Amino acid sequence: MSFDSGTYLLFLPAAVLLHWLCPHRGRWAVLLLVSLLFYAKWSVPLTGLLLAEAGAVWLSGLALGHWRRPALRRLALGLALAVCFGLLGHLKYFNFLAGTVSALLGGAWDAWDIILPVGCSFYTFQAVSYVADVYRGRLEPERHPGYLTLYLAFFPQLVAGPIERAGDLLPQLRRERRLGRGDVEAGLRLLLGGFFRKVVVADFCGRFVTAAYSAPEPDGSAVLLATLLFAVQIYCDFAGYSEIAAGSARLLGVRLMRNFDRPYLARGFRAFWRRWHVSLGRWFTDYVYIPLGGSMKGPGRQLFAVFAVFSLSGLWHGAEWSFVMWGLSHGALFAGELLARRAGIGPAQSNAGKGLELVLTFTAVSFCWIFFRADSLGHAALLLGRLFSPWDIPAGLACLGLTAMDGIRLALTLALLPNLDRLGWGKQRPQDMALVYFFLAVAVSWLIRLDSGGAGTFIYFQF
Amino acid sequence: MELLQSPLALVLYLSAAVLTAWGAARRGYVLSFLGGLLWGGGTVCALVDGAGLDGVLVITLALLLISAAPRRGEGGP
Repeated sequence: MSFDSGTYLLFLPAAVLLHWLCPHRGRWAVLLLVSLLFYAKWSVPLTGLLLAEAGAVWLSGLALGHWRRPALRRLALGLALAVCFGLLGHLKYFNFLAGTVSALLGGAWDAWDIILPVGCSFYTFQAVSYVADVYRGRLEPERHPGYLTLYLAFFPQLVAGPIERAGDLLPQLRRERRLGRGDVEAGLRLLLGGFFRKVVVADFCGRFVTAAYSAPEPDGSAVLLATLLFAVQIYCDFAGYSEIAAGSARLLGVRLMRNFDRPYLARGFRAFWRRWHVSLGRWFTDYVYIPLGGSMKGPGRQLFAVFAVFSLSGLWHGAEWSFVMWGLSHGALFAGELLARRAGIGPAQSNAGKGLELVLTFTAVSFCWIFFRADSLGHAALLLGRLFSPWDIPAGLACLGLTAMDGIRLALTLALLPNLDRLGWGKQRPQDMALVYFFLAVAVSWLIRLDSGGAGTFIYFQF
Repeated sequence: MELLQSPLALVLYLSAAVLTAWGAARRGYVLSFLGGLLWGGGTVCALVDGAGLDGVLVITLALLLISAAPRRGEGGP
């Protein structure tokens, strides 16, 4: 079930209540049961797949804990990785690879009907991080199959992260938790902030983005505005999801990591990736970038590692060349910044220079979103062509369907964005009446959504 | 802009904005809550007079902006 569905608003309080009513010894079972119910709402057979992957990872963890011979340990690691990446590769990339090979050979591929399980990329990465950490000796293998399955299936972060490490999450799930007033308040604030981002900001921006990106020949001004709005939409959509996840977990006494830390205030691309989808960035750093040599084996090797990470990151987001292009464009920006730093250029010291860095970073990141949002590379090329053609601004506004009232609403929501960080993650809570208005804005937006018959879904669910 | 057809709603919303701003500036929560009550009254009038929810949302966001702005001495996140 989706976080922004009415069902979740009933499911969450019931799950929280059941969890706290149960004695500590049985809480893992309650959490596992409600997590599997949460996932089974999408598909019961695919829940079996999740359990099968958890079983394979648990067994390989036990084997790694038991075996001392390097060859056997490598075998256990290899088998676990083969199961995890084999499943992900088949479900997510088979049609993409077969289609690419067919196109190269001049044929056409009749795509197989393969259903990609929701959240597959996320729980697979968690499973891989667990096995890799046990193999490296950073983590003791989890002997209880229930706790290990719960680590992969914990419902707040099952579908779209954050990609938590077993070393952070498992001890929290195991220890006896008590619900404090601070947990309830922080959890509710995170939930409110997350719903505001999603229902009030992201869904509203998405309306105009969809209008421009689905138009056959959008005006360049419409492409520009829609791309800037998509930058806001995807941030609020995913950060909103992460906050709802963190808020839900907090009500269960579990702290999830902060996945977004005001990324559009980053000055530079390295800083951006330390603030955007933090859990994925850390995963790629630990399990791809550093094993490939990182910055320790010379600049050439480092650039190779950077491009490997970003192309894989693009591919992780979706089996489309446009996603690979998005990853590579970020890789180029990141590599450019590395080379500039090596040449002694920047970072800026003056306020004007810092402001310019911020604007340039945001502009470049927004430009890259074109590849991310486009349906294909051909569509991205069309949009870029329109962007650099002469503009007809009234036609562009008509294409977006942006009215004066929409403009005012947009300006107000954008002005409110800084307050959302204070609401969700700030130490000082906003005054009581602001909290009431946050709630009222979410409620009214939800009514508008119901009235228009639209139901939003989170962008990252497709990954 | 259907809100313009409901003068009473406009008056109530404007009063709500004044009370909310005043309450936020003085950290007077009673004033802010009175502003919230006026928001409720304005919304009822607006909806009875046929205004859409879009207008109500814009007013709500404006009042939220007024009440949520950090005061002097309050840091960021």
